[in-house]
Amino acid sequence: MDLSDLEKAILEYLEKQNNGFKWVLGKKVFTKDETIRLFKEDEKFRKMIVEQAVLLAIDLFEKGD
Amino acid sequence: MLILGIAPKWDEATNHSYSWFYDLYKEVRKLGYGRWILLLQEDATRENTEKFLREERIDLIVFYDHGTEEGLVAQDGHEYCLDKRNLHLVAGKTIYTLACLSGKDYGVEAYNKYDCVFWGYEKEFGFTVGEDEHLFKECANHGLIYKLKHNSSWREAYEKTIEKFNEAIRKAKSLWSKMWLRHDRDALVCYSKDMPPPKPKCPLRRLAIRLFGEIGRKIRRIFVLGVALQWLGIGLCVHDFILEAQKISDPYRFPPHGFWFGIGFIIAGFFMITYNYVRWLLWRS
Repeated sequence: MDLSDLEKAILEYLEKQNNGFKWVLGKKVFTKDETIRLFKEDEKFRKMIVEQAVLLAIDLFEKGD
Repeated sequence: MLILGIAPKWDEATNHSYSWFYDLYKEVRKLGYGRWILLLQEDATRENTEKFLREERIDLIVFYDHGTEEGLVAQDGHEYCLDKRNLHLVAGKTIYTLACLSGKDYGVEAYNKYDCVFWGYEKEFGFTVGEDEHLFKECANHGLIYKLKHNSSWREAYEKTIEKFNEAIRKAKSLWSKMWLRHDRDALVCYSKDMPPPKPKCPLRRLAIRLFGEIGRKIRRIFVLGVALQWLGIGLCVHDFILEAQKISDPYRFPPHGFWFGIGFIIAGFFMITYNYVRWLLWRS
C-alpha cells in the first residue's frame, strides 16, 4: 500500500482518535478500528474519505476561517 | 396544519435519527404549530402511512429514517413508507426528511409530477457520534423550525439552514465532524416553487420545459408516447388508404397491410392516453 502524504495524515489522525470514535454514513456505522481497516484496505473507501477531506479544505480556505 | 410524523427505529443509525425526530417534534410543539399524527417504530409502516394519507388531510410529512433514491424506508427496512408507487397520495403536500439519497430522484419526481415541496438530501447523510452530534441534529432540524417560527419561504429556510451548517462547521470540535457537516450541507436540497430542481438532462424534457414552462416537467412519457403512436397510426392508415385508392397495393400481401398496424398503434395510443388521464383524475381526487 503506497499512501500519499494526505492519506498518511488522515490515517495518523484516525489512529490518534480514542476508542469511542464512531460515525455513521447512511445505514453504515463505523468504529475507529473499522474506519482504519477500511481506509487501509478498501481503495474506494479511502478515495471517498480523501475526497471529503479535500472538499473540506477547499471550503475552509474559501471561507477564510 | 396537520403533520404526519414518521420515525422508524430498527438499527443503530435510526436510534439517532429517532431521537433527533423527537427533539424536532418537541420544538415544533413548543412553537404551537400543528396537530401531529405520529407513526413511530413498529407503527411506521407503508400500510399505516397510506391509511393516514387517505383518511386525513395531511399538510406536512416529517420523515426521519433511512432513504434511497426510490423512497423513504419503513420500519425494519423491508419496504418503503413512501415511494414512487404511492406518490399520488402525497400530491400537493410538503415532505421534510432526513432520509439519505431521497432528494436525488424521489424528491425530484415528487416536485415535478405531484407539486410537492420536498426537503431532503441527495447523498448519504453522515454524522459523528459523540460531542458534535448535537450540531448535526440542529442542522437537520433547523429548516422546519425556522420555516414555522418565521413563517418564511422555503428558499429562506434553506438559506438559513446553509448558514447554520456553516456555523456548525466552525463550531465542530473534530475535523471528522467538520468534514461530514460540509458533506451534508452540500447534499441538502429543497425543491419548491421558488427553488425548483435543476433542469433535467433529457433533451426532450428540456424542450417540453422550454415550450410549456413548469408544466413541461409534469408531462408524462406515457402520454407523449401515446400521442406519438396515435399520429403514427393515423399516418400509416392514410398512407395505406392512398395506396388502396390508387390500386397499387396487393390486398393479400404478407406481412399485412400497414392499415392494420396503423389501427393497432391508434388503439395502443388510445389506451396509453386513457391510462394517463385516469391517473391524473386519481391524483386530482
